[in-house]
Amino acid sequence: MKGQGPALEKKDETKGMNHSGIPASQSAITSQGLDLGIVIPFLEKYGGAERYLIECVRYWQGKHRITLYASSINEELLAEHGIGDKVKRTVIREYFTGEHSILLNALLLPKIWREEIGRHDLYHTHLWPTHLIDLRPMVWFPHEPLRMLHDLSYEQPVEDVARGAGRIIHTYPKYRYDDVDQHLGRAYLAAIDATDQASKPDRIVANSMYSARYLEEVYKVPVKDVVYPGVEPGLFTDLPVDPNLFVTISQLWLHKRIHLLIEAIALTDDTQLAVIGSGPEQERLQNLCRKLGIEDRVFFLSGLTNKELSLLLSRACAFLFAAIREPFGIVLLEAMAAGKPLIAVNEGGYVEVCDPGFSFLLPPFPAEFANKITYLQRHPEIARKMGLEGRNKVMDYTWKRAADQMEGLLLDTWGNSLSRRPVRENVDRRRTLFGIQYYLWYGDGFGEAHWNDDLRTGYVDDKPFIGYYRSDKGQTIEYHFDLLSKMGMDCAILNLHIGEDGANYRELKGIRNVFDIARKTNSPLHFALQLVPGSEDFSQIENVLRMIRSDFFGHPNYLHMDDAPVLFWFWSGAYDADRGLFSVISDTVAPVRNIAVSLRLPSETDEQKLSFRFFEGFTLFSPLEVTEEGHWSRVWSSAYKAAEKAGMRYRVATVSPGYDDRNLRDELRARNPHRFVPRKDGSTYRDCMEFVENLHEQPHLVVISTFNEFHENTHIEPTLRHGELYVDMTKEFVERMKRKWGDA
Amino acid sequence: MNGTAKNDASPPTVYFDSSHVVSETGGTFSLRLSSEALMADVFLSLDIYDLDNRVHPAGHLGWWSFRVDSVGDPLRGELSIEGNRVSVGMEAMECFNHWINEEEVPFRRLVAIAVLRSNTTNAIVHLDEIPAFRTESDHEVYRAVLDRNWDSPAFADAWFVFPRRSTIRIVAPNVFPGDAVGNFCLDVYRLCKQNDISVELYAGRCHLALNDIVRKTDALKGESTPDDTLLYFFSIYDPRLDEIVGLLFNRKIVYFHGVTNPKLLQVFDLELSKSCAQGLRQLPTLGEFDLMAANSTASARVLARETQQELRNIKVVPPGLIGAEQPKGRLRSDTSRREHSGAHFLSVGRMKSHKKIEDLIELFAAYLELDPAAECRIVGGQADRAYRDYLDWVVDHRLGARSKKLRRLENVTDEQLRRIYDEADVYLSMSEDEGFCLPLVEAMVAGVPVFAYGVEAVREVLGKVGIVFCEKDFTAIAASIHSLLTNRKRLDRVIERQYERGRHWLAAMDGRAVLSLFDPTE
Repeated sequence: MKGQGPALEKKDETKGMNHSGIPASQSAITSQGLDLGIVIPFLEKYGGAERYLIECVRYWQGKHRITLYASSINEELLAEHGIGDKVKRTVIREYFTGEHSILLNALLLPKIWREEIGRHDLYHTHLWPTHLIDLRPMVWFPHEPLRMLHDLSYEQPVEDVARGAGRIIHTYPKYRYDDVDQHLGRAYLAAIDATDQASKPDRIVANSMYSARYLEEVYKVPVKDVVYPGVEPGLFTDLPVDPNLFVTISQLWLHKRIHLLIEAIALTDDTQLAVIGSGPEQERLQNLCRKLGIEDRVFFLSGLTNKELSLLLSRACAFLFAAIREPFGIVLLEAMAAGKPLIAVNEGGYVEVCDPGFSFLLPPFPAEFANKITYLQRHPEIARKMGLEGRNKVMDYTWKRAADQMEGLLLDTWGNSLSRRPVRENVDRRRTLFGIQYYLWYGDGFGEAHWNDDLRTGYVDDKPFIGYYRSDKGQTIEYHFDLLSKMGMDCAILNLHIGEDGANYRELKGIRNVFDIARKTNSPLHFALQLVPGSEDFSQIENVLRMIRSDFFGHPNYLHMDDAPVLFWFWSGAYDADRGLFSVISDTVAPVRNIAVSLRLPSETDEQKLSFRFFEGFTLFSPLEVTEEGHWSRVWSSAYKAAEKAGMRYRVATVSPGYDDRNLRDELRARNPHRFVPRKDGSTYRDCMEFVENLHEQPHLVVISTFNEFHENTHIEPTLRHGELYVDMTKEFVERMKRKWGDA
Repeated sequence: MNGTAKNDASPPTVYFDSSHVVSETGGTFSLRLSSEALMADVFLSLDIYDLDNRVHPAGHLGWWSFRVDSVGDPLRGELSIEGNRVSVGMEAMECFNHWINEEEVPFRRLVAIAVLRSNTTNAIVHLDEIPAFRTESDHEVYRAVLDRNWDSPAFADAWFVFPRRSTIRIVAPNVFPGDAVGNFCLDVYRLCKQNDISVELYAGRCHLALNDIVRKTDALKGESTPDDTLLYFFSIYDPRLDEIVGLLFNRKIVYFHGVTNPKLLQVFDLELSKSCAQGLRQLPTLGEFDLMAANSTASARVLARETQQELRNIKVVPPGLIGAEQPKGRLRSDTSRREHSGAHFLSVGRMKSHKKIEDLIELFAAYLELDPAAECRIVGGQADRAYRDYLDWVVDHRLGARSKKLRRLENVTDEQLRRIYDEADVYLSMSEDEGFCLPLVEAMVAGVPVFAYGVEAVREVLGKVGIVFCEKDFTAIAASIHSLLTNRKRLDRVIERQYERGRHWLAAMDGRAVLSLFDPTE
């Protein structure tokens, strides 16, 4: 039996954990909250792990942007516990069934989940095997290791459960046993064991000192952080006690040893046992009750509401618990909060919070339990006093305390991870970024997408050095990365068209590859998306924005300015003053630096009416098209100043080498009086550059239009017609400007 | 490990020979053990409880255990009472263990329980029980729970002659007066007696005051003949159902009262909740009866679904009988008193947790905000101690100093109940599970406007009169009640329409619908 001394001593250890403060550098983002991805295999029942997660989320939901991931989500459970709509829910792939499913669920399923889970600032994962999702930074709260590999490996059920020559394997948190062939079972467990330790989360948090030591033993890493679960003491009602009623709460697995409690009840007179919980052992336990002749005294209950649970506990004389090495045992805290003395086995995490004033901690023998049951049954006044003592003790363990401690650990882990990330480019007054328009719409060879597949919109009469490339190919992307680096580009602007069916799949695939390759190659380049809205169905645009937020904004290579991701909008003017669109995109994307790359000029006076102050920067997509050559400088200058006068935060200028879409047969293009602006062997490009060089105010961003828009002949990518002329000009221009502006 | 009889043998049984014990006349009793008791690994235990508080240890006077070396013919014993102490002895049987409560247990009357228990597991194998009294007059008082003058109240006359060779055997798992099922069983028994139809009543358990007329269901097999008619009442798990279905009868009729949703009982009455859950699983077996009847269309719908029968094949017979001379209520024309403050709430029914009395208390608390002089009466018995304790807690927490405005009344006489209806301004039903709900009919004929949570059977009984609600928004319901009670014209219209509906039900409960189940010409 553990005494008061050791329990307090261990608890003090947790007080010294690293969750006291948040580094100052984090304060800006934490004021908006973390973008937190929380993963748990199932969110159906109100078991210990689910309870922990739900109670924490309840406290965090107003402070952080949370997305819950689970293979099944019980909305009623969330609603009952006050989890609101602010917390996003995403159902991830369900567990495999059938042959070898145990292996698939252990090894493959977490990897599938990894693909399904969006990008977040931090991943907080619960239970096994969510650590194998391997997204970072990750705080893993396993609750327990896969005990079938360790202490429960010889606790498998006997033949009336295994039903045959095989064995059953319980890969918690699955609700059902897997019944497998004996040899296969061993092979499965060996394979799982080998992989289990392959992924090391940034932090492992335990629910008790006891679990921490166990996890250290299994994962061979220090587990320093312990967050005890909590309880809501105020929830419980004080009702007169029924001295004959005893309660246990547990899922009905073999290792919960409910059979021990049933045998104990059979050794007592006139007692009743309410077993609250469900699980695969229920039928076997009911049979045991029948054989012992106490089926009229043992009641299996499930699906109770919190209120019902509280009332039933209030009525009980004492709470019984006999599980093998319970990692913590939240239900014991709840029993304490309900003012119930504990009769429990002397092993498990909860022992750390128990003392003899309110608990009998016993060896796992039915007669020992029966003895204490009878004692409390006959001495209800002692039971009452013990219960009061337990209730006083539990006041230290609230869910708010647990949520705060866990939140501290999440923030600490996230803060530590920042120092390991590539530094994001943040533009300020002393630094001008150079970016370039980049297209990922090209298909696999001549005649395929955008390589002369459509004379109306897809005509190309120049040819890139590397031939008619497919945009999403790794070799293409890596070659382009080299060119962008050679030119001194800081970032590339990746175009993504949104049609009635949503995002263009080809471009999206290419964009994903760009980000993946950037990460793998540790590229110093940054990337930002440029959305090209072309749908009247604003929900499509809204969906794409959600996807971008979850999949790309958190990527270390995504371009940020002043600590927020940058999102460019190709702005034709078609959506000017469209409140419908702006209400959708304003709600969805904040906080984001939105920059218009427009076909129209910004308005000094009417931008509020036209774009509702949505844009923080405004530049021309194709400066050569807006007016006659003789007026270029005046009009560009006017546009540049107009953005400033309209109150926009960022100055952005665009340069272009020339323009020629005369080969495109789209009738609308024929109306453009400036559809052909010759390059003049680089002279036109130089004019644009000179304008930028002479700007009265240093821009935050200079955009080259474009790297590879071959239809309009604005490309600077090396081609058979122009060679490397424009790449070299760009390189010199960027070097010159960086020297001039002091950034080189 | 098995201390009970083998599966292929009949389990051992123990029965009292007599219906009761009286201490002043010697306290003797006799027991009959079946021959299987000798072969089984069992012992006999005699348990003595306070009949009005059968709780261990508060109402437990003691137990005496005896080895079963012979079954006797019969076994004789003696129960003696001195003050609040009792002792038990059995002739020619060795008492090898006993326990006597050290605390004094005051009592008015006792229950003696003969139990066969497994030597190995101590599990109960079989039991029987009888009441025990200090004096014969105590016994007479106890028996008065049921009026044994079968001619009153007078129900409908049969329009057929029931075959003389046939007996109607009414079987129910439990028969307790005051309970809807028990009352209906006893009324049908009375109806048969009045029409010279041979009738017997059987139950697994019954109120011990009735054990002179209610026979053990175990006896049914030996006493019934293939000419008989079985009328089987089903409302809860019956361990004998399979056996009963297997017996030969001329006609087997099942009357379905509905089974209470076990989830609504599981906090305060674990046993009842479990029995309801098991009862629900037995419903498909009811399809084996020749004729099915139910207390409402709502119940019939459940029965049809579970037995995969057509709904139209199930007769709907309201679960009550109203005698010709019984008061039919009256339409109150004088509603002027309701214009004043101090509305009287009323709710009637068993104090079981599915009735959601706590919600009524919440509603009443909300109403007090509108009418501080209001009062509430809750009439009903059979409260589990646990539920009663909980309701006390709710009253304390919700009403506090205003607790006296709410009164709970048990064991009221019919006359008292009529007076209570007369004084009521509004009838409330917050129940979340009903098979029929007779008090609604009583309220309607008494001219009391009804506000009820709209479960299916309640809506069926009300038939679009009264006022139902589907959300328990106590503030909104309180406002609705207040609005009705302060609008005399509307109130009169509601009461008038309710009264017509109530009359419809009274006519339907005169006994003809029950007799039609036995009509040999159909």
